[in-house]
Amino acid sequence: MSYSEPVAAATHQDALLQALAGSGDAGLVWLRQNLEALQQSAPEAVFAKLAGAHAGARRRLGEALLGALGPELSTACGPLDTRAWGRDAAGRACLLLAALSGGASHAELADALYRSGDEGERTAVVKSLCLLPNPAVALTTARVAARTNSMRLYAAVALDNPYPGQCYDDADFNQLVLKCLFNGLPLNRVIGLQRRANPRLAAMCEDYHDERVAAGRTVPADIWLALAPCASPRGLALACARLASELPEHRRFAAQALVARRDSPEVEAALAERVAEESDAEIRAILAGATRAASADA
Amino acid sequence: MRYFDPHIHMLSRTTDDYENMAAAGILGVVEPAFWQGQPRTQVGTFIDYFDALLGWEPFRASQFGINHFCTIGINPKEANDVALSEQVMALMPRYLEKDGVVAVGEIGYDDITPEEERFFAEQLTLAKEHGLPALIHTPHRDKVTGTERSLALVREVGINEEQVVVDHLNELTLPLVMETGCWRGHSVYPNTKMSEDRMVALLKAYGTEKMIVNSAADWGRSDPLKVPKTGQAMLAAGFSEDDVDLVLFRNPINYYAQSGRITVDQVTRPNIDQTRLYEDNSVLRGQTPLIEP
Repeated sequence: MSYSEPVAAATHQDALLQALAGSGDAGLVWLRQNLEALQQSAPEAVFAKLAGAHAGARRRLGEALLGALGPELSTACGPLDTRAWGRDAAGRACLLLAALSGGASHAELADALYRSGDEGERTAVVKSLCLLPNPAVALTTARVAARTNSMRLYAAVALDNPYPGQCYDDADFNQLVLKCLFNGLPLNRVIGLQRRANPRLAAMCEDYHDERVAAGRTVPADIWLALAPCASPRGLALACARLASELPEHRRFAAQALVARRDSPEVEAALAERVAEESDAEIRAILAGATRAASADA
Repeated sequence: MRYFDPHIHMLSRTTDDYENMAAAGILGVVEPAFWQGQPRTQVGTFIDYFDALLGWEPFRASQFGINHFCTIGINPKEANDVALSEQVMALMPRYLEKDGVVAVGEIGYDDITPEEERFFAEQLTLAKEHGLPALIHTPHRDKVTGTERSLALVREVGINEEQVVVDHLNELTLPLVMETGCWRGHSVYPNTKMSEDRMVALLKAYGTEKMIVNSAADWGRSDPLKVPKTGQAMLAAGFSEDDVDLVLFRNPINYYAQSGRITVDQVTRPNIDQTRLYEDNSVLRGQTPLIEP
């Protein structure tokens, strides 16, 4: 994997602290005291301090969302939007980043923090892995987290998080996408899906589609976002057929996914044919190519 | 009536218990860390046990509409294993900061040994430092002495008596606690400890202030419905519904509310969503999941 220039942990920490300070006073004095204590901790003492403060952060800082104050951070995994982060997650990320300065192994510190955390803490840890100077060192932790079926924790790994798209290999990334489909987590929030899509993922999605149909069950409407980019001719035909689905969600996601496959004459023809018949103005605009497919690959 | 069981070891109980408890009006429980029936041999077992009290068990409870909180501590029996207890003490500061932890406990005396006293005192000090209440177990044998010495240690350490509950009280030990600011805990058991009728008699004699009742149900013969059953006994004996609500709901929650991590208003029946999973596991075994809006 290639990474952009590492950004100093302190830069992310400052940006998050500024957002926290702008969105309220709760817990700020406590947080600053703990950040200072962590920066001055000896490597062997840093984990105990970090784990205690990390556990208690939600009660001090609250859970209010950063909202418009949440900065877009330039991480080694790509841009990270923190507007939907709570004050607790932002404060916990600051604590982890401050603890890194003490010379302890980043991978060991992040992993120990994850393993000692409750569900809320673990959620915060996996959201902040992309803020590490070299995020790939925490791959083991991210993979352990992705084996959970606590949907709150799983969503923190899989959605709105640039980490898997940047650091996972194809096998892990494909499993992550399938697990989202199985659990109803929206694929348009899997960052890097368009870029990471691969023929194996398309085949897995095609099989999943066939299993659902064979069992008489519904097919998730957003499956086309993962299936279409590298689909086989049969996979493309399945997606094209859904352009005429009676379910608007299927028509929308199939259209979004297929406009990127206009290289195929069959797809081009299917899109052109459907424009005239589509009743939903928004979907019609997607079909006509007037709006960019709203995938997570901004 | 709404009920709260402030001392029950749910990890040892079945899903039938959860269903019956919810049906009887129990809205929340506190599960104190205690011993497992046999001594643990390594600190990792404590880590996994504490994590279960903060992870799997609250999830399991939520599947039946029950709020679950816990207390963290080294129980008196295992405090006699000094080497192991020292390792567990080193873990406690980070556990005591967790959101689901509402007290240090259960701590106290069992055989009343110097080792027990050392970790009892150290944990009272930890409670003080973390601003947490302390749940004190009083021993089965030599109970009066154990209660007297527990109260003396509370004074010696200097933890605020308002932050302390002294548990498993009976006719002989309750009067000792009545002279202090500590809260008064009673475990209603099928045979030992305390019965519903004796509990009602104590409430008549000593009033309802700071009085707390629990089932202390665990892996032994015990009854997780003893709190609602005590409520029925109180009503039959002429106590008002508000008295029952005070002793069997508001008192225990207000005691633990001193942690800042639980309030009376917060303990309502959560909506059940049995389709939720935890760590790859479901509590369902093939039945249709119940989902409430």
